[in-house]
Amino acid sequence: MALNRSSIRTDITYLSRRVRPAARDEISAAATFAPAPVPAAAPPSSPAAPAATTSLSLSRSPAPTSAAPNTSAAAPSAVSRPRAAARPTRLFPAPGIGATRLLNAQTPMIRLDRRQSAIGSLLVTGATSAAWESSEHVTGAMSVDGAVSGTTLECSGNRPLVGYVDGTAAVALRHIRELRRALFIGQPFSPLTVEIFDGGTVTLPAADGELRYILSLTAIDGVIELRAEPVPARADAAELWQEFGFSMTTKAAARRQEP
Amino acid sequence: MGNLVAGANAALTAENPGLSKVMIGLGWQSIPSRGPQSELVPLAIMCDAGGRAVSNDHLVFFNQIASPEGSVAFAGTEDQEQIDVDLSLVPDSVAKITFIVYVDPDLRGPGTFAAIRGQYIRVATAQNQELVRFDIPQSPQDNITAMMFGELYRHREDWKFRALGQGYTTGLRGVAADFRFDV
Repeated sequence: MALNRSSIRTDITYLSRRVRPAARDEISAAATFAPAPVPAAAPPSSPAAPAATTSLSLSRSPAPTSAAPNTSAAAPSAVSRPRAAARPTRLFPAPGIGATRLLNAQTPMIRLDRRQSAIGSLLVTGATSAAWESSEHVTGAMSVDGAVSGTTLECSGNRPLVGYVDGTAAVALRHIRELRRALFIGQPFSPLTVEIFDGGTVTLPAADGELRYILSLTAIDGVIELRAEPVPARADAAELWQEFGFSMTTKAAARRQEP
Repeated sequence: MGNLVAGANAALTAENPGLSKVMIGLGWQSIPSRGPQSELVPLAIMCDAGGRAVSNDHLVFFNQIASPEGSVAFAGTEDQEQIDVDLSLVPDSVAKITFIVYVDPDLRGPGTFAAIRGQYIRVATAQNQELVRFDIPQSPQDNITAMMFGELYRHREDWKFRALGQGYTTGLRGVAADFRFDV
């Protein structure tokens, strides 16, 4: 009988990855409480709605419903959290990092391939602050001068998942599957430049009038999408974190577990 | 078949008739450190007869955990990494599958194999019955940033395993240059 090779779904990792008994129990428990899968939070703009015509309201209104849920220790909400396995794996076509040198209204986003998304460091030059949200919805931010808000994410190699090295923001791509999204904000009238291990670079231009671009990084099943998001040139970092749904996670939960 | 020494080979399918699936286990220990530590990444490269990677899609590692046809798949972490190989599904264009471990080239102190001990590679049946094992001899590894642990290769109609234990001082870039794939 001929082999049915079409049944091998390499794009669905949980079908091929062996699951340890403990992990299986955890998944079963989560499945008991989990509602229908919810897609990952959508960024404020998309290629279908280019950013040049979009402006953001920075009023301190409640976060939009598409933003990440509040993950502070006071309001744990495992029931409403989307599970990583439920993220879409069939992605729409997008240019790669070699296809453009500039992220702007004409080319608002690019997607890295699986090797580019997983090797070495992703560097962002010109970023004065970096905010992150882990796959477990732990959120934090760091400024270029070392000030930290929320919770830092330490990787197994004793490096922060997102941090700074010599004034340049860096993402540890070995642990890309632990990262859900990140936001890099620069000076209003300075560009942001992204560089990856293979030497590929892309630049977000400096502010032009009332709008400037900040860099949104989204990790979808281990694949990185980089997006230029237009925001008011004068908006500060805290306003932008709120607008993009980054609610800084307190360290209270972690402290309780320390001996 | 027992333990191998560097350069030795073992006739897997010839000595085990009916063997169509094997599990490759890779392991090591890291000496703990408070500072940045080397992060080792296992990588399987499916090569053509010329020793080159068949394509970028034929690199199997943590962020691309199966080859396109599913013959090589990362399957578990009971060793440091376990890789399932379905020999019957390996495309004819693949002449060998090389198993490499590289140090992730993180800009913040990537490190070397200096703090790594007890590297090994073992071949087992799908039921995890060990067929052959290669404990890589300990030697100075201060400059080593990638290492070929071993390889499965075709020999006429059969599959063999060869113990390698060869280090690179040029890291993943050196591996990519030798096997002709993009990083």
